[in-house]
Amino acid sequence: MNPDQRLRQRALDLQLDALLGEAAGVLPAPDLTERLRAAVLAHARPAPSRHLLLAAALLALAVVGTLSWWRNAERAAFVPVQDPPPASQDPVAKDAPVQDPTPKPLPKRWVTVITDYSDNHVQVVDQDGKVVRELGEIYGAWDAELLPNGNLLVTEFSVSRVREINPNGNTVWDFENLKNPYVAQRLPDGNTLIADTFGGRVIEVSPEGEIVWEYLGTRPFDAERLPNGNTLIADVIDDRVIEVDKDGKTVWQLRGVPSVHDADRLPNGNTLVTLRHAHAVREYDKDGKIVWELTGLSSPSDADRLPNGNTLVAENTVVREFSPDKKVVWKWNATWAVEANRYYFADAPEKKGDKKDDVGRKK
Amino acid sequence: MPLPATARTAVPSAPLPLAPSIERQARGVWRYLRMQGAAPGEADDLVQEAFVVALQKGALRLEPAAAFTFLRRTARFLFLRRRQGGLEANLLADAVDELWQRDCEADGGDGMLDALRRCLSRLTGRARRAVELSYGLVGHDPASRDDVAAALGLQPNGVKTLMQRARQQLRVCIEARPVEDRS
Repeated sequence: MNPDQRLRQRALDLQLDALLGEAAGVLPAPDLTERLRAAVLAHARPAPSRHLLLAAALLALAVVGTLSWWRNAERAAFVPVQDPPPASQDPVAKDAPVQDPTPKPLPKRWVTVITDYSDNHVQVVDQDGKVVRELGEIYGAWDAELLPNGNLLVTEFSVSRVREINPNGNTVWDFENLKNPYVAQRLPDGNTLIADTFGGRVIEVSPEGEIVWEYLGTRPFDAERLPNGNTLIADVIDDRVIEVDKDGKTVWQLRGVPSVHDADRLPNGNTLVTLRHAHAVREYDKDGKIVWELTGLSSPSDADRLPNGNTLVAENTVVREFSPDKKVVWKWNATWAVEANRYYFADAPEKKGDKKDDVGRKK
Repeated sequence: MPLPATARTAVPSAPLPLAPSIERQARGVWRYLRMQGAAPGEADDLVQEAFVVALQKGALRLEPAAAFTFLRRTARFLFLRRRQGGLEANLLADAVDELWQRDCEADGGDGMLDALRRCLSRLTGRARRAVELSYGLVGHDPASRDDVAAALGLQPNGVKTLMQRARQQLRVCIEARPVEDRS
């Protein structure tokens, strides 16, 4: 390799490194644009009149050092915008529904939907460990939700898309105006809540593709709409979980949870939080006190509390279900499981004839 | 190297750019500086400095493309002045500049970044995992070569080879992206 080729190779490496860094979330400082905008606005203000300038100059001559203001006027525009005062940590969610946390006997039939990022696929596994449905070519699969109509709502991180796919594999709805989303939730009214992670927002999209609600200024690794209409967001940029109301006001928050990948509000009002770097899943009460935790996990990215009180955790190469006393009661090996969701089906008497099963296959 | 010339063609009464334009230009200059090898925080500082110069020279009142060229060249000058790297650093900056103009000038590099994300998802399992762990993709902090080796059950040298191959595959894949994606 001659010197010119070496130089070019080095330039190519720098270019690729910068892009990979950006793909990993290394981005400009969040307030950079605000600071630049402030500077531009300051520059656009009309200049003071000649009389004022003369008066200022005379004053400056009288007081040593006054001129430094004039010299520094441009720089002063770059004083970082102060962060708003942190919202209090008091758990305002007084109206959060407190449901009966007593575990109920579960139906015998269930499936677990496992999203495998590395293999670009989604698997639906039943209670007997049988793969009953599989979707391939889900690029950067990060989340998959089984809808009541048997369709799957999948979130594709790598191609910045959320799609609803029917049992025949056809896309029946999609939304693409996104930047590397992590999670999508279909709401009861048919809208879809999306954690547009690297778009820095949580949005609610109507079936027609119209954004009907948004919350900006966050890096949401997870978002879910709560029964009280508020939205719970795992905000990794500020190491916190927040509950915001429809007006975007923070009504509850949990601070000091770095690398928070998932947050779920439990029926008892507590919040289940998945901390990837801490290799832990923790249940916090409303006051931010840890009341239960699983530790020593392998980089978990999702955890769900099941109706029987167990906890289902997606952690890299395995999905495991833990009992409240932290024993593994079920597991499934994967290449890189990032999300796992469990769905139970009512124990109904079997009907005869041609029908579709719970995950949309024809029997 | 002298600072870029004053924006002589700027119209003093022309409006200053609005927020979306500022954001787009800042993002482009920041990305350009990262490609020159600036650390993230250093790139933030240099973007600010370049904007100050552009404001003083009236360059932000130019057409957006001309304003961006001014900002990019100013940022390059400021970056090299900080590094004081001599001839080789200048030549490397030239080479990066050439690549920028070839690949990123039209859309600020957005097309390349999208192509990279698509190409990442097409890497085979172990190579992809090595890249993801090494660069801190999907929520990790970047892992050291030893940590990647431990995670993948390889020797550190094996990781080095795997990464070289993966980077080459990414490069080829990005280069092969459809013409319509190149803006």
